[in-house]
Amino acid sequence: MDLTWSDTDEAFRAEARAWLEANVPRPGLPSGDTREGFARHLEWERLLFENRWAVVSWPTELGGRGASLWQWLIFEEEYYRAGAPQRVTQNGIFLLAPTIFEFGTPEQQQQILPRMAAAEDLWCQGWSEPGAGSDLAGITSRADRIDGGWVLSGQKIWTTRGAFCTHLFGLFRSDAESTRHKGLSYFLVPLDAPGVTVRGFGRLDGDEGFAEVFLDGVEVGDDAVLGGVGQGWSVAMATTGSERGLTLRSPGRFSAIVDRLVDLARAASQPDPLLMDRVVQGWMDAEAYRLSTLQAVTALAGGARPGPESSLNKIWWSEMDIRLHETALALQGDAAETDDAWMRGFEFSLSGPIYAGTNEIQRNIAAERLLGLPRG
Amino acid sequence: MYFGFDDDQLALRDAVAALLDKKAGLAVLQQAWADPAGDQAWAAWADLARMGVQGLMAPEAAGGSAMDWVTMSLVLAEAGSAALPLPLLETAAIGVPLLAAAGDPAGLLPSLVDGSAVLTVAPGVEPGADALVPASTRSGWFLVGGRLYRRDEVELEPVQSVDRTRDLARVVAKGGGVAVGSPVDHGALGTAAMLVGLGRALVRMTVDYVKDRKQFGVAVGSFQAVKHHLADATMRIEFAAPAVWAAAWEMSRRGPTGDGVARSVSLAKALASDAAEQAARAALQCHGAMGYTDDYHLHLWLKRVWCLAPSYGTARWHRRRIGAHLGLDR
Repeated sequence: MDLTWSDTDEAFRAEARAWLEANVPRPGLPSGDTREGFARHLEWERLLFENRWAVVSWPTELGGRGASLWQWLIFEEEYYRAGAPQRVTQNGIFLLAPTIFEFGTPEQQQQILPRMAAAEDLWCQGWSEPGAGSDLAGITSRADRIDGGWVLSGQKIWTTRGAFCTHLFGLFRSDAESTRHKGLSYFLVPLDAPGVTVRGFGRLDGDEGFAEVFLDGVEVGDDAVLGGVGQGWSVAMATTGSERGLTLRSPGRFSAIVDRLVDLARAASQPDPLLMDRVVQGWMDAEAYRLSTLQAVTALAGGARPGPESSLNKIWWSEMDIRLHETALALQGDAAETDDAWMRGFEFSLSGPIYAGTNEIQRNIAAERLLGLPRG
Repeated sequence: MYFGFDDDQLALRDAVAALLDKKAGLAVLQQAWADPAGDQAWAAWADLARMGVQGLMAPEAAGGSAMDWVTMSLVLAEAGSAALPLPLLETAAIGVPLLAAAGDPAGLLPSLVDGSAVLTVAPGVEPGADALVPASTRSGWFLVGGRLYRRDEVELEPVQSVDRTRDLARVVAKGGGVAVGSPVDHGALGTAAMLVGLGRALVRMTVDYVKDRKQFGVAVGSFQAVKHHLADATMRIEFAAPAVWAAAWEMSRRGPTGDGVARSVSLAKALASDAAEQAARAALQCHGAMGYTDDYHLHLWLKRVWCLAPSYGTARWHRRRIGAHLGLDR
């Protein structure tokens, strides 16, 4: 065991820290889940890309730095420590990109990844449907074979920032006779194609961060299928591993929230011992997540694949995120109702146990696949 | 950066687990419940010494193998998993390193290493005149509040512990003793490792039980309410474990008074105490009435958790210590 960083990693950290300190916008940007804020975030994403900070772990020829997983963790730590903007590109670069690296043809990789890194194409996730949430295998959106391609029809919902994105990745039933996990294919769909209608709607905080996507006879080519016809479920599961695991919610994000929480607590005029205890518990939970991630990344660096323990990961960070924000609101007393960053953060944290498969489903997965309990 | 164990550490862990399975299994644990100072309960002590476990962290000059806290933590987690009713923590993980650091003022190390001497420790964070100690009958040395006493320097009065394998006594120091340093950080770290092992064992036993136990025509482990108890317990234990290994690494690298080490130890102990208590609650609830009888062996693990979770600082005590480090103790 060696919990020290190498000189190369420390140098990488220093470079990231210096660049972020000089470039992170002050004051911060308006919410990236509004039309105006999204545009401002795109400028920021392009600045990141021009300086090769947008996708640090990607190969240099695709605009990255070929950074190791360790350096990716370091970058995330520095990114959130610096108070840098939310990543409006995250569903592309963190969820879709790993799947394209693994399953995409060389042509797909060449066509999609550089434009994604440069924030020229903006990807949203088209998985949930009105009748298929946590039960993703229940989707009914269809892909019907035509000469040289497919016709897509159906409805996707809860699509994050769908109203501002240019492309959608999602699951469609490519075998009309199939049910459940079989007969699904993973499609890549331009949202400006004829037959696509996108309607944005408000999240809990009122921002237009959600969309419904209606597909009515949308024609796409054969190259719109990622990872083989009928392989959609296993291709999609590769992405959920990333989403529940560390690529979506790196420890640095929560360490930064805890730092702000500790500052808030230190400034309290009448420190309440019980609240202080909750602040410490928040610090501990974030620290436990950081150490657990170091352990997990060591295993991944040694060739392990992300497994069902990613379900426990998702429960941990999502429920911790809520507690951190609840504690901050409690510290604010009657000022908690102000629609400020803590309240916004609190509202956002409440989505954590719901998206990417509810925490109830994650608990089932952990119990069945990690502990071997029988399916009910 | 490498957050993992080397092959030697894992091999030793597995060897200790195999030994405990063979020499300190359930039958021995039940004998310890009936007679905690009896020869049968203590049969494994000499075997552990032959394997070098008591001397893991002792200097080579004293017959030890000078290994680090990471290795010790892996071994203690196995001792916790087996609910070992012997003072391995006290002798090997507290007594040995404290005495070694203090220059072995009583010349005791070689006999701790070879298993001929037994040392016990009062697990209070501020032990007063009437500290409690486990393994009281067979111990020849008593570490109370940073001072080491010979048996003829203390008075002992038996006290019934909820866990009868503890062989608990109230100890009153009569003689002068010698100063050897505070046992709190070593004790908290070692106990945290044991609690991780105890928690894992509780989950494992409960998983086996709920797969087997049928109600309404199906295994009760197929019910989501049961699954969620066990998923939560597993999560808490498995997020405490890395904090324990990290604190062990820091303890070896910087020593108990090193920069940030106390904070890391407190993190490990507070997480492990709470996690093990949650695992114990989940285990009992998922066993139903079967867990609520001392005719069934689950209670031995539950009660050990209840003893160790508050030892060397409760979770709250350690959170308060972290709070002081964070500047929240105004």
